[in-house]
Amino acid sequence: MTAKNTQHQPGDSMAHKIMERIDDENITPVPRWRFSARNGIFWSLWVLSVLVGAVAISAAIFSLANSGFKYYVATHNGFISFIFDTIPYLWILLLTLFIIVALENLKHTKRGYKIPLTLLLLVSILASLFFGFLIYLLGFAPVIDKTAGSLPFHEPVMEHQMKIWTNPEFGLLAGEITSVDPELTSFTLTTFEGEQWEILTDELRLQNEEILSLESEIRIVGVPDGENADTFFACFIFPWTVAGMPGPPHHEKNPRIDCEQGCEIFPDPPRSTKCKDVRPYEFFTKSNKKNVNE
Amino acid sequence: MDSDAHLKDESIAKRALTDKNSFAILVERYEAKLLRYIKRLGVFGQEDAEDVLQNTFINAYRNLNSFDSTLSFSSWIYRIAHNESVSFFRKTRARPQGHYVENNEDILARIKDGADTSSLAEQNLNLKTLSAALAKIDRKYRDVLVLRYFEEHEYKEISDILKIPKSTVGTLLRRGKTALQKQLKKST
Repeated sequence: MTAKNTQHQPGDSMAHKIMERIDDENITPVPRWRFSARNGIFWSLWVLSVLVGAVAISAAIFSLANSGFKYYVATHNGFISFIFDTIPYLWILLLTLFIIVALENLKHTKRGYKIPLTLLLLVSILASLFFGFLIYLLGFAPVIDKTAGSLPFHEPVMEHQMKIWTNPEFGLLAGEITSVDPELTSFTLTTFEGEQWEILTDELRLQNEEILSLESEIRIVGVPDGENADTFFACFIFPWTVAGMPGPPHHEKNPRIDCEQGCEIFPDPPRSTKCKDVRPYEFFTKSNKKNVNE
Repeated sequence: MDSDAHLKDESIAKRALTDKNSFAILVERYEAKLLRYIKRLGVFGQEDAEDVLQNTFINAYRNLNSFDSTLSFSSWIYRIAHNESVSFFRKTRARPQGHYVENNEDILARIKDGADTSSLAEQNLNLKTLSAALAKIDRKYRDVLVLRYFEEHEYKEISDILKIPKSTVGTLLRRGKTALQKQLKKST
């Protein structure tokens, strides 16, 4: 049957009805560029979803890298409570959501439906992981985490760490060394919340001195002085470093401490009983001994 | 002239973009089988089925520029017919009333031959029971069963019509036959 002959078909034939309707309603084929544009939009939305997933991954890496795993024996009641406190819930939720969006967009592309779901999932996740690591390595993760702090249910990881380490009743302090006693018997620590503490160094060891000389910001595990408010016995000190910051890590020598001539003020006598009561005493003492012997 | 009779659907579709009357050839080629397919999906009434069929052809003409030459024209227009049927059910909130299963023993034979389990093959399967059982199983299984055993499409074509991966077609067919078998057992 040729196109010409359909004009002579009975008026109620389907072909006749269709051609009549096409003429009456002025139906014309939609231009090709609209379909190409639609396909392009879905691909772009897939890319966008993968990038949002990458942002979530970079923030999750930042969150985990700064979770304070090395010190969890001091900051938490156990490993399980540390894990529950550390899991980056927001970023996992965001990643899951945007992977689903990515998959939906990919399925709507011209040929996306032919690809098995597991392969689509794998490609989307791998792409997010790759770009996520890249964003983290380039140092953008801290900004992302801080920006997400404006969300009502999310606390940026560094703010969370600052809260954990500003807990003198629990034996934890962190902040900046703002002044140092010339004989290094004590120094002043200004916490991130602006409180000032006098930190007594009697219980510190030689390896802690290195930290004091190199770092301006530190974290302290110790014991508050029950007799004097705002006084704290430091049992262990650690640097306050932030992983994932842009640029190479650097140690700026603390200008307030000068141990060029040797710092024999930290001999290694037996400790008093003060620090023996500090919860993770055994753990950190073993760690320190291991560092010294290496 | 019968020269057009030897032309492939894909060539006619391409020509219809500049000569709309060529589209009528495709309508004539596909109207009977698409009408049967639409009824098998559950658009039971003749008038409703013809409305869905008309919309199928109109949409096919409108979207002619989206026809992907890596597909067969048959798969492409079946996909449009499938989508129009689904839209019909959504708009009318109708449930499939039963499925048009004409008196064709070949269909029964294909289903029995394709059965993984002997119980389906051994059942005293009749067309009325089959139609009732099809109405009760999940749509996603019904769609692949109809395309495979009633419309005799290959896995690749079913994949293109329903826009699902080829591997999923196999999975749905297996599960569909199991679901159909359960329904048939209930009815005996």
